[in-house]
Amino acid sequence: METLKSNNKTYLLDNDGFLVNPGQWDEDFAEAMAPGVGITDGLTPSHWEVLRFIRSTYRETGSCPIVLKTCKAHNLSFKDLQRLFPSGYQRGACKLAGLSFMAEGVSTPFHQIPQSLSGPIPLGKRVYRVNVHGFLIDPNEWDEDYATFKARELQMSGPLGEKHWEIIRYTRSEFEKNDEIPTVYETCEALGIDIDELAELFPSGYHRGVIKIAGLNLAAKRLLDELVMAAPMR
Amino acid sequence: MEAIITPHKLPDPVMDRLAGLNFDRCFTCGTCASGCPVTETPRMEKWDIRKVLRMLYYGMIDEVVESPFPWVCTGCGRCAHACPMAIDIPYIMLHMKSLRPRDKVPGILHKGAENCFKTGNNMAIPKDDYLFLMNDMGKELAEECCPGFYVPIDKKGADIAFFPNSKEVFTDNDDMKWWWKIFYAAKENWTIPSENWEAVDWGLFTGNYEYIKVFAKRKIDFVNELGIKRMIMPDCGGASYGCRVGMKEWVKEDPANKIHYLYLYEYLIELIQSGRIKLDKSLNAGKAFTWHDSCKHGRELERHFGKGFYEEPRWIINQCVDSFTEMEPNRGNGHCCGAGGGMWPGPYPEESAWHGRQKYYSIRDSGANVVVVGCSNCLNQLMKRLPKNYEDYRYEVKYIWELVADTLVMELWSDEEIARAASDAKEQWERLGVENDEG
Repeated sequence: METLKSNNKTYLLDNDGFLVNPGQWDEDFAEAMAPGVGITDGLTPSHWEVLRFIRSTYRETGSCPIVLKTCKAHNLSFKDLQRLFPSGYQRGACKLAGLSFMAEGVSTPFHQIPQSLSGPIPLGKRVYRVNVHGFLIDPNEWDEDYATFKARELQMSGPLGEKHWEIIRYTRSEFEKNDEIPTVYETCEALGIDIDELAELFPSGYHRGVIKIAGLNLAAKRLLDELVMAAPMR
Repeated sequence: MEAIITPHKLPDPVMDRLAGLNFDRCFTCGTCASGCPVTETPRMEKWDIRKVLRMLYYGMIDEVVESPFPWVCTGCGRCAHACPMAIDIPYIMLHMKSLRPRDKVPGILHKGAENCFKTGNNMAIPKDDYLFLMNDMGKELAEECCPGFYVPIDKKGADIAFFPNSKEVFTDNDDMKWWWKIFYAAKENWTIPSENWEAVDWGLFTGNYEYIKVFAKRKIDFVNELGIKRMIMPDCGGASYGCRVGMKEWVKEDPANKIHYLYLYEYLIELIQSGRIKLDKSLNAGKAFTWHDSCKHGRELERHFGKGFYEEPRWIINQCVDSFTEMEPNRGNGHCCGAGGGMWPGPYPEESAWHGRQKYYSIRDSGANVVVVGCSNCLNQLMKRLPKNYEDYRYEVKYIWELVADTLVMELWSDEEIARAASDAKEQWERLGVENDEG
């Protein structure tokens, strides 16, 4: 396993240099990876159009689009695409988009894959149940994509970085161990950060920021005890 | 002196399997290791096939199965080709692969095999995308040079069944056109499947006996259900080999599973000798060509099925070029490119490049400008991986069907033939639910 570091973030890569977790992708990743796939002058709007198309297709369908679809969507010939991504489609464009054809299996019209075998549901089809205050009702429905999008909803500047994730993961693991959400002081002490630093990382605050993004809520334990799980799962 | 290794018995099922492969005849002469490309692989310098067989003799099955060794074996068969005791070493390595838990199969190989098992192709390309591509690329070829061309899909009663390679469907779309040009020039009555179309057999690469059989059965069923006369065996040495192995098992179970097939070399020779396609050698003047003997179309096929294709590809190339030169060694003694057995898509690129070093020297010493191959793994390796690691000598690489396509004297279809094809294409795309812009 390799890593790519950029802007205080560490991205995990597999042995072929592909992003291990597509949910970890952000634009910094693409910029940082670009020289490694032969793009030395930075990513242009044309590059970004292709990358965003690949990612949006993946979100909607759960699979990486074939090269022809990508070219057709942008009125590019194969040679045009090659000029944009000298390393090729799979090892250039898809790699920068944080995806590969191995990112997900996919249901097809002729063979439905059992849900347990098919991996995560494509983002476009995922449902998260939140209460009127915007907190996730069932912490078990949480995943990193939820955190990413919740952070955007809270208008946090920039994607979630390593420090954000450390805090999020700590609160979730404490909740899972103890059935209790750690207080802001417990979290800061455990992770060796001060309150001001946490406030800077999560401008919405601890409860409305950290806890909300971590998919927890103060009523979570009580609600779980009251069998809110009887509601249909996604 | 304290014993370092305590010998113990292999589990009975393993011993039974290995005994059937003549494993117990080994007298450790080391002939296998001397010809094996894996010997002295960087980071595995202490491993060689003679030692691995000796480890198995001592019952060290876990150590072998858990090691990378079976996975860096390309299955090239040089060991078995030279073994004085006819031990089927490649099949022993295949069995070692099969003993790994599937979640421990290195790299993407099991994922790809699983994709193929579940969706019909290694890259899980959705059916809609596949059909869209075939429609679109077919139109492109028709506009470029082959008026009237379209890709026939699920055509009942076709003479020839052909299976695409998902690599070409996903990214290398233009590579499909070589075979298409040949089919056009020959006015072939051919077809591809709409489902379960993958040519490549990663069941073979991952030691997955079940998948090898499943993938072969899909091809058998496609041919039988549509009443197709013959199947062209997939190009990839691994794919056609896995298919052949799988078909043999199915025919043993039920002779009704027997279908007619021919290898791509036999097919091309048929077309050339019958005059259905015409070639112009002058198009390839000024270059020296050589042929890379693929392990699974040559040495291994010969050993297991009694016939390897050595002279046929050479004959075909000599119909296309004036200047042919041999690599040394060649035919059954030829070196593996280093990409077989899953090494091309696998997670051991440095080891694979090391394995291909002897092939590179053979190419360099031949003085050839163009290396012709019959396998997509070989092409990738010789064209992409080896030149990155061995830079002194530059050469081109072509598929043998690419060479034939590039040498064709193309006779365009008549207006009547074009009109008939257009009508057939319209009916087909409507049947398949594909939007067909005829503009």
